[in-house]
Amino acid sequence: MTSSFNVHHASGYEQLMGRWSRRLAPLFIDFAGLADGEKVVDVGCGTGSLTFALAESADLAEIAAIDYSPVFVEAATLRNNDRRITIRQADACALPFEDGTFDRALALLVLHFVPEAGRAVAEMRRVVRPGGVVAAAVWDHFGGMPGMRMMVDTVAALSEGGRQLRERYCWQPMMQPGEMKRTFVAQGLTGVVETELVIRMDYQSFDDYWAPIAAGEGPLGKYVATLDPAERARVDAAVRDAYQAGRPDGPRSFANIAWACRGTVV
Amino acid sequence: MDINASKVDPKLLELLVCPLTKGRLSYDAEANELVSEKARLAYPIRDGVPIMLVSEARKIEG
Repeated sequence: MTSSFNVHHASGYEQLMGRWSRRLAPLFIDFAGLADGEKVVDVGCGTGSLTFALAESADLAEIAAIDYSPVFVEAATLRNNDRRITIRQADACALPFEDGTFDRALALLVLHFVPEAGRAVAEMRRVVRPGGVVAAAVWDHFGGMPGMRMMVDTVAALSEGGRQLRERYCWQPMMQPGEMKRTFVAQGLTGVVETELVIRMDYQSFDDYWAPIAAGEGPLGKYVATLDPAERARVDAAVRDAYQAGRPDGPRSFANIAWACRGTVV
Repeated sequence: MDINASKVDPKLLELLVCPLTKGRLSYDAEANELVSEKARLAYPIRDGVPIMLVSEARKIEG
């Protein structure tokens, strides 16, 4: 298995995460750097949050996007009307490109869903020319996502299955402080820098927060989809209570931290 | 209408190599596949999108 991400519908993903990864993309591009005329590969393009932001950020020669999920590849392809962008189905751990093809390889919110994330970093390094840049960002599920921790802590308090979900969620690959940096260094990248990128996720209401998860989207959605109706009703009520925090339903805003790492190919 | 052009945009075939061997691929327009002779694998093109996954490739016998 080369991706542990769970996606049913691209529209559900958009509401769960796509709208926030679009917000994160410009910060990540600033960190990764970009120059006119470059050839860039977007590893794990999803619905295209980074892909289309790249197209707007510089006069790039080529943007090659890949994703493991056929659902994402179809969604990104439907959105694409830019001749510089090509989208194929491929595995981050076995990229279908020659050595040194690109000036930059970027992966936004991908490596924490790749069980062998080190292999993906090695492949990103391989397809970038000497002097080019590899950069990636992943969420800090354990310590940097209070809006999602609120949900996993709530379900963990309710059942053993919830506790197991929390463990899986908190310890996905590349999420610990310094973990991605060590991986980049181990894969032979130089001048490796790790930083934190912060965005806020702003919800209009509990339903705005909960609907994509309730519909089974993403790792949390996959969990709630397994619950029997009584357990499901308890989870819905408890997460709603945590969201509202004693006040009437309405807008809530959560800070979210992503680890970002970049290194140069020797 | 060019029947091959209806199957895949030639630009989508550029840059690609076999993800297993990193060797060259040849496009079989008839079967609408990308063939890796070295790996003895044929990668399908579905709805105009190259599927560059070994798990989805057809093994070439013989």
